[in-house]
Amino acid sequence: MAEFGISPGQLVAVFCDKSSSEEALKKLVGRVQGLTGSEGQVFVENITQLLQSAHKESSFDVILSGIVPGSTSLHSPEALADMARILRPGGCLFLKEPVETTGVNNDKIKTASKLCSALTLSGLVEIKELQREALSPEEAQSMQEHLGYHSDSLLSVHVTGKKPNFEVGSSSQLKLLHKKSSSVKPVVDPATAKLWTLSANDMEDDSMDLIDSDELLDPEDLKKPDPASLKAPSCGEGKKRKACKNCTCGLAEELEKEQSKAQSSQPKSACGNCYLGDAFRCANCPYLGMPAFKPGEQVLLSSSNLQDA
Amino acid sequence: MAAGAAEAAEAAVAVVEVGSARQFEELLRLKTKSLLVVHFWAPWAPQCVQMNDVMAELAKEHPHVSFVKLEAEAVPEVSEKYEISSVPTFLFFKNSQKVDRLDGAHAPELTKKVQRHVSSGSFPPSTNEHVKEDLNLRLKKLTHAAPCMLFMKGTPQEPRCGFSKQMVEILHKHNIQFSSFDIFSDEEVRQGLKTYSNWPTYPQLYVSGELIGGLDIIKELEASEELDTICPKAPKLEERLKVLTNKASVMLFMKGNKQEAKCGFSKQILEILNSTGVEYETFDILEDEEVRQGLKTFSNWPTYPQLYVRGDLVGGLDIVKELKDNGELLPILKGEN
Repeated sequence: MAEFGISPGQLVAVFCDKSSSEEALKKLVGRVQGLTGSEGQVFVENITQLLQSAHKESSFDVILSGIVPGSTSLHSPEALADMARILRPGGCLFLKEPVETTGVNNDKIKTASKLCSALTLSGLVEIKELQREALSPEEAQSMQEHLGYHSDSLLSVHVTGKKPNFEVGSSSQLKLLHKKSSSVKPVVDPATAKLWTLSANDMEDDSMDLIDSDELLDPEDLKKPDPASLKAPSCGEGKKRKACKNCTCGLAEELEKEQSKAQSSQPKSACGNCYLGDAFRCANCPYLGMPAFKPGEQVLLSSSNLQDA
Repeated sequence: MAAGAAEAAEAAVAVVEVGSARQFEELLRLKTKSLLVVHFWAPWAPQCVQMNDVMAELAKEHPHVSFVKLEAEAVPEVSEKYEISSVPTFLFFKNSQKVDRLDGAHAPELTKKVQRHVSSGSFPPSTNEHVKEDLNLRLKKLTHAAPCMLFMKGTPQEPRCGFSKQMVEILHKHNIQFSSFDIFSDEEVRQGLKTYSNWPTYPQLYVSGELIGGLDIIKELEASEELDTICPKAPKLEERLKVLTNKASVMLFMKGNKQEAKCGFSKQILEILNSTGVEYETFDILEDEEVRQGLKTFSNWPTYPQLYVRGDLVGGLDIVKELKDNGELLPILKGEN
């Protein structure tokens, strides 16, 4: 049989099924191991475990499935897709499967063209049919026992497929978008940019004049303000004249003067007896001779009192 | 050789190449009834070579699906419209609408998506359309079931929400004749009517099949005294009262009739009118409770008898006595005012 293109140091997966011959499997694995050498590895697995094994993607250089004499595996689309996934880009799949040769349409067994189509849909390229051969007596018996299928038109077909030199699901970026993104870039207004460009030479340039701050003032601004116009509009509006805490218009000082003036007109009593009358007053009291009065009351004498009776 | 040629011809027929935006739009319109798969590709990308082969295989398996190749850089308008930034990219169209998208060379995924969209088919949309038409027809019949139709929660006798209760009270107060539909009994009508009339809440009041509004609208109409003019029945009574008061030049609404008064006040006013010698007619309010109650609000006069001259209320017994004493009664009755 062919060498499957296996090189030293490669990883190879061999898938068998329950009807595979144990002796033949051992022989095949031995040959493959001889090809990979000590650096390579050979994995042997039952095909029914493929989907559960969850191999990491792009793990194997070569996959052999159904190649073991006696195998009668039927590869489902899911199995083929998974094999395509775990193959390294550029890796090869070698596959053998019983196929129907007559035109009878049934769901169980594929035709040779259907098999090639299934490989294409799973993501493989360069699909070739290598050879066809009749089923061995053991394989025919296995088909009857495990699949319940009996036909004289079955053949065993060897096909090969290759994974493309890119990963599953990969894509190439379009240059279209690059052009679009460059064209979308906003154009800077030259006039705007010029405004914000201040050259060092401008500082030395005599034609660039600084603004004369005196020109900013109007003749009215130079007039001395009238004190009345400085008062706040709300100041003194109410009936009660009261200055603000932060008074700046002069009302506070005005009120202070009024208060001090009022206080000075009332002489203060040191002994506290001035208002009681002459009998209690001191010798030098300024109220001597005046009638008694209440504390704080202004002494008022009627005109008749000023004249002798 | 012949088989290969036939296969190539079949592939050519199956996968169509689109070269312009106009051709693409045309194809969209043409293929509204089936699934359309568009492959945005570029000749320099190796992934696209593989995916073109995959598309050819899928075209063989699904003859009813249309597969289209469109070179992304050759037709930039379409690529920009659908934001194609890399190749290969696949878009799925149904009824001229984009229904799915696949970026990258993932042959198994593409196969799955095609199978899924093919198997989903086009039956559900048509079914929905059919059901919707039936519901609209039914809703139209319901809203026209009565001149005044109320869709509420519960029944007028047993309202099951506060707003429906208020609505029924307003309609009863205004003596409006209406039929009702309990939306709790049919969830389909409940949800369908919201979109049918574009009104989200219940209760809803319809007159002659046309939506008037909800509780808030009816309250506003009541406040502005427009409710009686919009809804039926009330205009009927008002019209009838107008006709009655104009039945004769001088019209007396009393208890009893000319020959036999049934209350003292009516008897007195009969004597007064007879003494004037003016022709007049009477209406026995004891025979028609509707007129008896309606006339009170119609003229805003609470007692009987009531005297009308040329459709205008003159007044009750007291007014008539006073007019007689002043000597003004006769000119009023003769219309010389």
